[in-house]
Formats: sequence, structure tokens, C-alpha cells
Amino acid sequence: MNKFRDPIHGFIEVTDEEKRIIDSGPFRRLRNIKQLATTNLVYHGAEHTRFGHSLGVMHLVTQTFDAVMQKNPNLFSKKANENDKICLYYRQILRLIALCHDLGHAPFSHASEELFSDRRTHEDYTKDIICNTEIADYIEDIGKEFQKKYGNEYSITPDLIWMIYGGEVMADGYKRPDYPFLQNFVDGELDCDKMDYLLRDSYYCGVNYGKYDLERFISTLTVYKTKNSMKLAIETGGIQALEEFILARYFMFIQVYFHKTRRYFDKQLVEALKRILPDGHYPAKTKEYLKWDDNRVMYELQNCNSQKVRPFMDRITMTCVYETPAHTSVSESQKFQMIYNLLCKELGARYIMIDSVDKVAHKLHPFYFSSSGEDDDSGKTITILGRDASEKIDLMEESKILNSIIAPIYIRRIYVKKEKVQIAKNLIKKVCLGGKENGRTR
Amino acid sequence: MGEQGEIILQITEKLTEISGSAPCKKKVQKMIYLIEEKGIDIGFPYKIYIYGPYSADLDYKICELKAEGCLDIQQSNRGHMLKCITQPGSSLISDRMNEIISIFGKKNARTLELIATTLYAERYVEHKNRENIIKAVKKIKGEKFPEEKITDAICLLEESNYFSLAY
Repeated sequence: MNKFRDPIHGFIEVTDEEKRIIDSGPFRRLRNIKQLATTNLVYHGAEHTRFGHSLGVMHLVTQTFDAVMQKNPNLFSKKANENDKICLYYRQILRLIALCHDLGHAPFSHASEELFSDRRTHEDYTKDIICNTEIADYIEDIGKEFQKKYGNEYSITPDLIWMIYGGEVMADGYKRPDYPFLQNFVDGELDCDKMDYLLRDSYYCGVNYGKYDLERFISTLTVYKTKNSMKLAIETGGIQALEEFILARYFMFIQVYFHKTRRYFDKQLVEALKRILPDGHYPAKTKEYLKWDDNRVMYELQNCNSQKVRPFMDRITMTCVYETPAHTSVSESQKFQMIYNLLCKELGARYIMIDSVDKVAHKLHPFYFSSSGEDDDSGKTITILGRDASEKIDLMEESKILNSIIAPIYIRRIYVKKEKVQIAKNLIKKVCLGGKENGRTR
Repeated sequence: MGEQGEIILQITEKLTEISGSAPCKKKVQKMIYLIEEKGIDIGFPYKIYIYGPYSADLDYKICELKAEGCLDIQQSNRGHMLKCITQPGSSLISDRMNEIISIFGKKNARTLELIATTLYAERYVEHKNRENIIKAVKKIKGEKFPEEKITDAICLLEESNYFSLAY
């Protein structure tokens, strides 16, 4: 058994077969894709990469799956022997999904994803990498070992890995309710991806916002089973652990993921990337796409003569002169618009940049936090079990804390070039003195 | 709010007019899917989640509209009911959109769920015939809808020119 020493989880064990995936070209590339894009320009410790995160998710998915299975014996079969085999099989599948889930990320992660061509997403590249690179061979080898050991029905293939992770519900062989249930572990509101990155990002940024009691949280996870479905759920009495987890997400979002300076540099990075990417987009062909990582981007930017790369390369900042509160009211929204219009008129639009939260990953989707009966088409609503484990309770009714923070986060900001900052601030002050100041002048 | 937000409000208001009561979020989700499948791009990508075509971006936009004070969302056992607070007008509802809303707007959310899923199934299956579409719908929805209802949905979609099956 091979071991990786991880700052968050301690020793992470991987099998020899799994290590072949980790040693492959596409996976090694993740060592050069920062987890948090330009956040290191604000929190200088945020140099961690998707490599460590992928190992972390694999580690957590194993712990979580084992914990849930221990609590729910014979979940997949009444015959203990058969259930054990299925559990080992699904466990391996989840480990592979976790290892591979971020393979398709662009350099600087989510910051540059608007530069994909043909409406592609990083998931499209992930699928291609899983199914059509050397990683496919390594997955097949693991699958063959399983078949040899447990029987032909325990086949693992790249297509199967993607079928479950990608939620390919229409594919032949898509098995309900097992596969949607497995998908919960890696793609849902309680998934191991979030569990890892909150702790990891918090640690490397040097903040406490993302910290929560991981062991306690995992211990509250269980299965909600009905006639036709199986879903990862929080057991009775786990509300406080869930609250802590969601609060961690909330604070990390406000303080780190949507930090005003980080967001500014993300936007400048995108402008700079347009100058160095072929036709301003990442290559559509996966083989060419895999040649791009953070190092390649920085090298190309250093050798680019365009003035458009200078703000990013020379750290030329614009000042955030106004921002709305985290949960903006109607009047605050109107004031923002008024101030923006005024600044455009008085200063000129070329001195101004605005940013809003609707284009951000890590969004908290309010609808996922309340039970809504017939409305849940996403399958992502968090399920909490009542005292009778077959009954669901409404998180929004049970938790006053979450009720107040789950309102949509709707921060919007106005940035102004340095030479116009003082004029902008004076104009904003006049507007704000005209009424009650809700937004914040910076 | 932007044009996207304005369109959601206008569609919500139109659905309220046609059916006489506030639509639930699911109804709005499915209606916008049916509109976009006619080639009218409102800008919400749909994915086949476990329970049918769904747009996470649309859900989030609805939340933003609530935050802006344009929309009220009331939770009931039928789901999240959407009610326009400000009068949105109808300038962004084209004649084609109007036509789609008038065909499907009176149907309840459950029926629209079936219709949208049936349409998705037709788009997905390789060999497009009634049998394969019914099989695909059952794959997504299990036994939630009987075969006769799926057949009715296929007929309605054909009549509305979403597709034409060879028999």
C-alpha cells in the first residue's frame, strides 16, 4: 500500500493500481493547477493544487462510504456475503471517481472557464480524459482485477465511472437507485468534494472560516431509503453538524471565494488569457488542452507583448469603491444601479468595472435547503431524517441560523481605476448622504 | 435583473393569468425548457438530472429575483409558488413564446413534468419511435407515469411540432 502524507487528512493510502492513475500524465498535470486560482495574491498561502485535493476527496469518500455502510448493513443485498462484495465494488468505484473528478479543470481552475470553446465545460474534458487517455487503461485493469476476484458482474470501466459521476441517467446499464446514491457522495450538497475543499482551502489560506467538525459531520450521514430511491441524508440529531458545515461554506464564500481582490484578478487573468490562447479559447481537443496548466499560462503571459496582460502581470489594481451587502435588499439593489449609472456618466465606463456573484462556483442554492415535495427536480435537496427515520424534516423550519443565511448571496461591486478613485468616492458619498447608507463605500 | 430575469417574471405572470393561480417553480422550469426546445434561447442550459430536465442556473436566477424584490416565493406542499411582486409587462414574450405558453400553460406541474421528460427522451433516443421514447421516460421516471399518459404526451408534442415520429 502506498501512502501520501497530507496536511489535512494525515496518511492517505492508495493501492498500486490507483497509483498508476496518480502517476499518469493527466493526473500529474493537477500538481500545476492551483485550487483557488488567483487567491494566492490575497492569501499568500493558497498555493495548494488540485492534486492534493483529488487525493483528499478520494480519502474522504472512502471514510464516508464506510461509515454510512456500517450504519446501514445489508443496504444493497439481504445476503451479507453479497452485500459485502457490492460494498467493496462501489467503494472502489467511488475512489476512482474521486481521483478523476477534477482532471478536466482549466489552468487557474474556475477563474478561466469562460474561455472554453463550443459551450464546453471542464466536465466535458474530464469525461474525455477518463475515457480516452492512459487513465482509461488503468481503470480497465482495476476492473479486470475485480472481475477476477468477485465475478463478471463486478466490472469497472471508464464508461461506468463517467456514467455514475456524470449522472448519465439515460445510458444503458444505468442502475437505479444505486448509481444516483453513489453520485451523492461526490456531487451533491453533502458531498466529499465540498468536505475536502472547505478544510483544505481554509488551512492553506490561513483562515478558520472553512473549519468544521469533519468527524462529527461524517458520523451524522446515513441513507434515506424509499421504495424507488436511496439518498445520502443527515440523521436525526445531526442538524448542528450540518449547520456548521453550511456555515463553513457560507463564510468561505464571503471571505475567500468572493474576495474583492481575488475576483478582480480573476477578471484580469481572463483578459490576459484571451491574448495568449489560440483564438482566445482553450483548445477543444483534449490532447492539446492537457498541455495547458498554470505554469504554461504564466510562461506565455511573460512572453506576451500585449498591453492587456499588464494589469494581471504587473498587479495593477482597481479599487473597489462600492459594494452591496451579502444579502442585498431591493433598495440596496436600486442604489447600486443608481451609483453605477452615475459613475459611468461622470467618469466614463472605461474607468469602471463591475462584478457580481452570479458567475461564481461554490454557490449556495437556497432551494436545496428546503424540502419542497414535488419541486425537487434537481435531486440535490438536503434530506434530514426525523425521529422516525422514514420521515423527513424541513431544515428551514428546524434551523433559524440557516434560515437567515440561505437567502441568495447577491454581492455586487464597483471597481474604479486608481486615477478616478477619489472623484468616485466623493460622488458616492453625495449619493449616500442623500439617504440611509446600506451599501458600503470603501 | 437583466433581460433573463425580466423574461422569467413575464412568463410567471403569463402562467398566473392563464391558469388563474401562481405557478410553482417546477412549472416555470418545465415551461422554459419547452420554450427553449423550440429554438428560443433564453440562456438557461438544461441537464437531465435524476428526475428530468432541470436548470440549476434558472433556480438560482429565481432566487436572485426574490432578493431583488421582484418575486415572492411561498413554500407549500405543492412546492415553491412564485408570485410577481412588480407588474412585469409582456414585451419580451414573443408570439412564438405566447403560443407555447397558451398550449401548455393550463397544464399542472406534474403533467408538464411528464411532457418535458418525454421531449427530453425523444431528443435523446437514437431510434425515434413511440416504444423507445416510452422506454426512455420509464427509465427516468420509473413507474410514476402510466404508459397511456406518456403516449398522450407524445401526441401533444407531435401536434405542437416538437417532433414527428415515423410510423
